[in-house]
Amino acid sequence: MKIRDILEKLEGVTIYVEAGENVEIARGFAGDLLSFVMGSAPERALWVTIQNHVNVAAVALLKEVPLILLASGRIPSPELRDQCQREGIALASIEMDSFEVCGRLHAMGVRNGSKG
Amino acid sequence: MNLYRMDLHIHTVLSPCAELDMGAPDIITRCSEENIDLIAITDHNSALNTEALVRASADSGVEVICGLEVQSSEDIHVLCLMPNIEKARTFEEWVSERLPHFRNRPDKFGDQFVIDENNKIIDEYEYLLVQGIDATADEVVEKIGSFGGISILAHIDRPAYSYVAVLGMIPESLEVDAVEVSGHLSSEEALKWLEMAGKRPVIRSSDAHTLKDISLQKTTPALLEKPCFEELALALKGIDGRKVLCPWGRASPLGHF
Repeated sequence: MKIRDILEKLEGVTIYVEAGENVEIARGFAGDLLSFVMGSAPERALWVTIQNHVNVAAVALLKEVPLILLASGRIPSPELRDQCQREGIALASIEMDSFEVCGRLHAMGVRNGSKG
Repeated sequence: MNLYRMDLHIHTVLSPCAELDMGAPDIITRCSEENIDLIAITDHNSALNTEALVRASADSGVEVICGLEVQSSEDIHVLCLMPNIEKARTFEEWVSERLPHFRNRPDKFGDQFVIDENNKIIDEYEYLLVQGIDATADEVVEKIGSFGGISILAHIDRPAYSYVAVLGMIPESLEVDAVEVSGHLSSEEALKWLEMAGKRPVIRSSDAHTLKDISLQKTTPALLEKPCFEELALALKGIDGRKVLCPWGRASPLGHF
């Protein structure tokens, strides 16, 4: 599934760093404690979080995250925005909370990495 | 220069999670028995009991630094040590303005007693102190610096309420004065966290919530002219022969001790 298609289908999205035209994602993950995310997120997964610190970009890079989705309308810190821009990681904010976002994504067919 | 033992993270009966044995004279007596020279009183988001501890410490040989353990909006704990009571109280105002107005329920969370130096209860703090304030950890660290205080990332080894657990790593650019690792860890367990601290000084503290938590084994040694805030500030920067020594001795990658 293309990131651009996913973002188009969700309401209340503000895009801060655009995804490349044909970047696809296969799985999703949610978490706010960065040590936990580093330890347990699958690679190349879309990441739903409320954490907007610049370190989010470092973890995303480590896990090859193609899209960071900030739930509950969290606005990224300027440092996080810059870093995502530099590293080519798509970054968006969404009005819904994490629970709602994950529900929508699941309904679209996005699953956690452990199930492929 | 003399060798002093410090425990810079001690709670009192003001913290709801602390036991009721954490009274002012009681803490001082226990520290004195354990031969601890310099302590910091760091209740959650409040410095209201620091004055009682300073008064109770008179002529005891135990020196008291006024501080707070601030909980950030991301639930990260940052120790804040201030040069004197006035600064601590002014900083505390900045913290309490940002504390959510969620009332404490003593039956669920524990009592939050404000006491004098003889353990007389003066007041009970109305709002729950163990909540994240409306400021990020990085903002708290910056604010402490602007007050001339000492900022320390608390218990970075813990799975919750620690900078590393929440934010994964400590950025090079973060101007924090020291990093705390829990006092109960062995040298082997501490090693990983000493590396995580990078070039920053590492301290070990008790994070005492009850009297028996306070012990010489959970202190940090430091070379100071005398045990006080100003000397500690110099030691954390390694100025004029003052030095905070690695509490885990040879396990330190910095090779102290």
